[in-house]
Amino acid sequence: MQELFRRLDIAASGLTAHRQWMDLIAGNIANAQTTRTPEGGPFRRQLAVFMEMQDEHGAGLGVKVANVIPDDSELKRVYQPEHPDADAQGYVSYPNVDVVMEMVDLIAASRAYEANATVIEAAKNIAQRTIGILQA
Amino acid sequence: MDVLAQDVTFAALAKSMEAQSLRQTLIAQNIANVNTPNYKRRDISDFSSELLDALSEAGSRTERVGQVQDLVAREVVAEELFYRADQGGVDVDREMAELAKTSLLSATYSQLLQKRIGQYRMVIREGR
Repeated sequence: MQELFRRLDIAASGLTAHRQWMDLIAGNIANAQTTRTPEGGPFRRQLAVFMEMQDEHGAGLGVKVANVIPDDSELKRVYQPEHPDADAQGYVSYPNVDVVMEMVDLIAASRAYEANATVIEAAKNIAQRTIGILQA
Repeated sequence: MDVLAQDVTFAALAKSMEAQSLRQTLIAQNIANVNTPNYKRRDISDFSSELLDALSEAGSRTERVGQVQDLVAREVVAEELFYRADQGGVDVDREMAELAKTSLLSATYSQLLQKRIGQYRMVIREGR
């Protein structure tokens, strides 16, 4: 039973982590043109850092998003002197978000999410069969 | 129960179920970490051959039951076997196939255990 619940917790952590990643991707796509943020400056692409979780004996406990870091790659500079956020030279810095890349990540995230959902289904199946031994 | 202490089949099935249960947990861990860089896949040691060795050893049935019950499926971490460019060691297609395998094997073992228990029940009821 212990093993079963651990398995379900692991798969649930996978669902949570990949949903968080999908949230970040949604935020990236939504802010692909955002030139102004509360921290100042244009929006920067947000990256999820996945980390394996273990107990004190090294047994696996799933996965988590350990950190969300901004992508430090160069911002896109576009000459738009009429834009309110244009600098002195007339250039506007746009977020370093490539929508195509985000879509690729989104597919990877949703596939991983599905895989974890399948694990939960399989674990439930096995648990049911094990309980079925009692009815023999 | 004295009968169960001599039942090698029962002990082997129970141990096999235990091993598959651990295996499924490790595969769950692999799948949860499909996007974790530097993660190395986990699996169990070669349990079936250890079980075969224990079953084919000489000795009384009680001794063999003891040997089977002493078996433990160990967790092993894959060597430097990287599948992806970002150093992730998990091939999700393979893990899904392995997951299906453990599910089918667990189902088989639990069915066989049920049959075994059914046999005992029939004997207890004097064949009725």
